[in-house]
Amino acid sequence: MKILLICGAGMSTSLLVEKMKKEGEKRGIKDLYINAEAADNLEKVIDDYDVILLGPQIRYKEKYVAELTKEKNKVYRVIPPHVYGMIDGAKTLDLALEALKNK
Amino acid sequence: MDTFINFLDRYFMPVAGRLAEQRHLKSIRDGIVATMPLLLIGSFFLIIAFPPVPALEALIKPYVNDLLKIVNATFGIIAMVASFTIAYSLAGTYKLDSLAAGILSLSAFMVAIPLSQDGNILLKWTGSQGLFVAILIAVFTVEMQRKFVEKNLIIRMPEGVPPSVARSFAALVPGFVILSVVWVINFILVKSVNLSIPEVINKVIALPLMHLGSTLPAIILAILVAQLLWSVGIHGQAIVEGIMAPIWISFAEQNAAAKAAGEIVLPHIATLQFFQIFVQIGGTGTTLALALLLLFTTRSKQLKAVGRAAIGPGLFNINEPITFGMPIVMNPIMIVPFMIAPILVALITYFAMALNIVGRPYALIPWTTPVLISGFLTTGDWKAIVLQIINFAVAGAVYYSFLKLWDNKKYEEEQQAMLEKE
Repeated sequence: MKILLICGAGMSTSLLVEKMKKEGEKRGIKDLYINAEAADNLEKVIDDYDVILLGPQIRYKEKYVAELTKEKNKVYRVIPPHVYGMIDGAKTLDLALEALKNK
Repeated sequence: MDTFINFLDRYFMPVAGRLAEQRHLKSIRDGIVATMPLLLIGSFFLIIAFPPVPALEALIKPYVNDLLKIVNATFGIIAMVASFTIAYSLAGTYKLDSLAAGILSLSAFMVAIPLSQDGNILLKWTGSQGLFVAILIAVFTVEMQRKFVEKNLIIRMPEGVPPSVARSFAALVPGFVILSVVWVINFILVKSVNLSIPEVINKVIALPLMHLGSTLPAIILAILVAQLLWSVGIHGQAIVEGIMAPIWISFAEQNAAAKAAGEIVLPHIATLQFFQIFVQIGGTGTTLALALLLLFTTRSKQLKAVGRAAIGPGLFNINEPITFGMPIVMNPIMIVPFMIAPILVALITYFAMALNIVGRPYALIPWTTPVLISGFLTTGDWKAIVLQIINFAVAGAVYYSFLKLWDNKKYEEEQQAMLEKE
């Protein structure tokens, strides 16, 4: 399973990525690949991922991401602000899993 | 306050978001961002060529011109590079041949800029003075290219011809017209008013725009808009910098060029570094002091936890744990100091630099560089460290009483929750 987090420069989401990786190890999920990118690079890398998670600060790009993910047959979710603020790896991982299940 | 936040969320955010996503603005930003590695490397050698320590200065002096070679090959060709990268990005959004667009735009740029008496290329135009010219030439080139492709006015090769050969033929007709048009316009302008395209662009568009962008009201407005956007949880800098970056980076380049020329007082204050290094200490809203206050002065467990999460990233000017965790976003109490602190800090910085108490920034460094180091590196002036400490303290003072209000509220909520559990 490949998860991509995007935000303005891919900086603050990279904090969350580390937490999610730890959570994934804790739960014993195999084949978990998580990465952070700047939103502007999405088009270049989207093919490598299954789920796209948007940082709440760039939700003004949601329409663009929605169209792109639909075109590429991927799923996306916007990370809730409080989850993002507390750098909550567990809840973010849940979000990604839920998105994949409802694909 | 709630209706105000709703208003921002419903009307202000979509407009700002659309503006930031606008095709041309986005391509200009992407194209300029692509030149950043060059500027960072150039800055490194600029700092070495003019070391901020007097003892080193004498040691380096004999090698200054050699070191400036790299500065000239980075800062000195930034407009030329941007004419390629901007056209490349913009053509990509139209799904045109981006490589051809970049090459044609670069060539058109070279047609437009004036040469020296004996036919040499002038670093002035390929560097700090040429950025707006590069932007306009790039946009013109790609729009022309698009018209030609739409109207099918290109040479198409029969199938079986290798794609790379077919591509070079496809670029022929638009390229011929684009270069000719730029040349003819330039020729007419030089013959009639004795000015080339870049000189006209700078007189008519760039200088007024840059003059406007350098004023104190423009600085305050830029910060206000970014903070308002962050107040509803939208990445304000990404949007504001997306629009203002060409101006702020131009200023930074012109300061670097002035520094390389050995000038003592640099021309501009409203540089990219002004905002990134002196205003956004700890992240947007000058929140590094707030992170410390959260950690050491709060009674609420939740806020203390936010402080713990925020302090590490805060040292590198990343503050989403605060904006979303505390939160500041959509929080009427905290939005007030979140607006006031950066504006106050910007005013202090502006006057310190306008009165030449503190040196103006010339070296570009990554915005994630920690405070104190960043101020010194970007200006080469030890007083910049003092300025950053003052800014840090002022922001802390602004946040303090509002934090107390919010902390009391959170603490009471937590006590209430505990009572209910028992």
